Amino acid sequence: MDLRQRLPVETIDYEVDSNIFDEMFSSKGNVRRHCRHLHEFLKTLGPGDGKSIQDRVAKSFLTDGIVFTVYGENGAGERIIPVDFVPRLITERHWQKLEEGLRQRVKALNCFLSDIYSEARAIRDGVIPAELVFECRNYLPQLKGSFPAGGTWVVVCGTDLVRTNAGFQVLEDNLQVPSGVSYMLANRAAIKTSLRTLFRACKVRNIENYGHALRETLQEIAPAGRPEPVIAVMTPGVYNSAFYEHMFLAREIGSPLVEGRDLMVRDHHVYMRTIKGLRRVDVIYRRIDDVFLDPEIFRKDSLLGVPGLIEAWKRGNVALANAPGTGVGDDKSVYAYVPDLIRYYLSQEPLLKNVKTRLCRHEKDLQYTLDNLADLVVKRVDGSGGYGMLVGPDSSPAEREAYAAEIRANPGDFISQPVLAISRSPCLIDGRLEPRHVDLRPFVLTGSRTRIVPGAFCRVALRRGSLVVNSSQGGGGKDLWVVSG
Amino acid sequence: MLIRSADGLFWMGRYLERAGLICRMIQIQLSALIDRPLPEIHFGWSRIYGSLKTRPHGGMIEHPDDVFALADAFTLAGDLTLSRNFSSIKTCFEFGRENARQMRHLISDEMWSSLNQCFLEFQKVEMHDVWRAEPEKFYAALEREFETFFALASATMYRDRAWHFIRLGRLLDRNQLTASFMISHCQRSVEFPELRQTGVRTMLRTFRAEESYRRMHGYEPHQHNAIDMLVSDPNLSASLLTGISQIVRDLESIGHGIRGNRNDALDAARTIALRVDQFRQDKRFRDSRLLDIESASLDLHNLIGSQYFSPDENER
Repeated sequence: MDLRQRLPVETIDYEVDSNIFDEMFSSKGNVRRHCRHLHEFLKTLGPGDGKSIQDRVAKSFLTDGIVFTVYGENGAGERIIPVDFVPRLITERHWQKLEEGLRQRVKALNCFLSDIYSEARAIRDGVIPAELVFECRNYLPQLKGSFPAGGTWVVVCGTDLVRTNAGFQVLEDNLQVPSGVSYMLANRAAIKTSLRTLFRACKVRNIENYGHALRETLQEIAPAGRPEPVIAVMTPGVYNSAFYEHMFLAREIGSPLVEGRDLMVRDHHVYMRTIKGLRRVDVIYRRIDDVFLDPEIFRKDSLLGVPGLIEAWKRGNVALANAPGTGVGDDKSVYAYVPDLIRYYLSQEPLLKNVKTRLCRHEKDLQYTLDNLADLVVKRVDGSGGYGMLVGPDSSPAEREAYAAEIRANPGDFISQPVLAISRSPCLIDGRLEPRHVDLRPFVLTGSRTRIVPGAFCRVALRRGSLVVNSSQGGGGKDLWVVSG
Repeated sequence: MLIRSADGLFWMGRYLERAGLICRMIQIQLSALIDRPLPEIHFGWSRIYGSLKTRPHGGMIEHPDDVFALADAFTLAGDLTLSRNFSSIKTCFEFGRENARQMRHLISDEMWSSLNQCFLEFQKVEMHDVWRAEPEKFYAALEREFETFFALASATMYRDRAWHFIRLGRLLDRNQLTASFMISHCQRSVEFPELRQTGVRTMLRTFRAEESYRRMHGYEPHQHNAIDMLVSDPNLSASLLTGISQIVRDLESIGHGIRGNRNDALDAARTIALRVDQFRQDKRFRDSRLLDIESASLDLHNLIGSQYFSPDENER
């Protein structure tokens, strides 16, 4: 039954669909209680007001250089992530539940990483198949027997969540180099200024202390005996698409922004080259993938890394955030086992659900996936950024056929999930409010304690009907407000 | 401070200062197009290219008539504005902005926003748009943007090493170009003695010294007095003495760097300061002494590089 209807939802012309959770309206078109101030505000907007705010925000992003770099046939270009000015609101009550679930999940993932690089108890006890871990591209056998000095593997975690009528579900974990936090803060700064009266009325929780929280966390993981650790943010360089974020974070925590060429290892300690000579570095917040970190251990052709860095880390002379080897937790096959890992390590039931995931490495799941390709979302286990995935309902028979051939050739490289009715939130599209699918990526910081700022990088699929929210695929951003209600 | 950061800030200062100075030169030159005789216009272009140590693509029209003079000016201004060479505003702006982008975490938001906004606008500029109205106003406005950038640096930056390296780059470029401009002027004056006096006037105007000169020396511009002023007047902000004195102070603030207790850059800067200071007192061999100062400024650039930006062998 098609439940979609165009309702004049309390004077706003907007489409609701009871199959899909709407962040602002109930399925009957009533304004959710915590969104009433926002709704009142939207009613007062004259024609063109919303667009004018949106244009202003976009212009300020461009001027302030809040951009990511894209490389195409015509060289490099700087683009902004489009920002929708209508914030997404979440109640404090829901946020608390999310926080609890995220703390639990990250704790279990840290236990898992400690385990697989040491005793591998979870494998021995049959919780997760050995081949799934040891054959994972992001598993680094060179680190077997290693342990981060501060004890934390995943210092910064960005977990992607979606909401459906069944509640919040985890879509994926980003453990190696989670990004997007700068856009969370930039969106907040821009939208707060543009909607100042509404912002005050909604009593939105503050996220501006993220830099402080990150710095404290990084200090906590410093090697022992370094009470005032020197922290550096490590970037692959100015040509990296996320360079803005690296620069932003270095500035937020008041640390130098280093590249591999600025660092050197001597006597298993890491130093940076300053105008006064070498200066020891204790903590590196690295924004560079594992395999590029150290050409002596990983990719020999890496010009981005530092020879000897991993040995210095193994000896506990420098802390890396996140620790090398954490990428195994980004693998979408491993993701499927996280609920079991929570039960195993913490003896608790998972507070956040996973999306039902089928691993094509299993014969039964492979067959199901191939038989139902038109109704599923299929992803590569090591894919990211929305690349290389198949959204069944949006694909052509030819695309499905080609994709099926790839799956058959390497079934272990793919997982499939049902197409979710991901929640929608009002967005200003061509001058009018229209629902668009959204997700959220909160950031969990773990040092000697866990910190979560009440906010997230909220991504939105700006194309009508699209479920792909990735900025590289035409997605945009939204500010997310945690409000009492 | 990281070596790479210091290097980036220094070059940012250099490029943006150079972009601003080229704007100023073109602006003054273009105002001559309105009412000055053709040889004077030719003298002006020749002096600019001489100071930038380059030549226009295809050369200049040597004895232009009215029509060609305008066409020549359009081409030459375009060459110095939008061409891809190290003497164009575009190249200097792009390089300076790229350095700023890479060092953004070390400069203030205000500096970045102001620079980037101007850069985004500048990218849309076409030469015929500049020419359509009052071209000198375009250059004046653009020069103001560069000045604003440095004024914002002065107003918003903490006086740490980042600040000193920016200023070091800026002052070094300004001094080099000022010295080169004076040398270029003297060389053309020998070639066209009848244009010396009017050339002095525009030279003073280029360095915003015309009014001060009038107060100090009267209305008639004399080359010796003007050059004395531009070299060694401690009260003139554009003088070489003011610039080199500030460079010495910046180098003192930055300290020795990676070369231990030796500071060859600081020693060299102090020597230049001494030579510049003595310029007015000793009237002999002025042209060659000006060349010496210019050459010593170029050496200073290299010394700063080896003092601060080149790690020791054992630190590589």
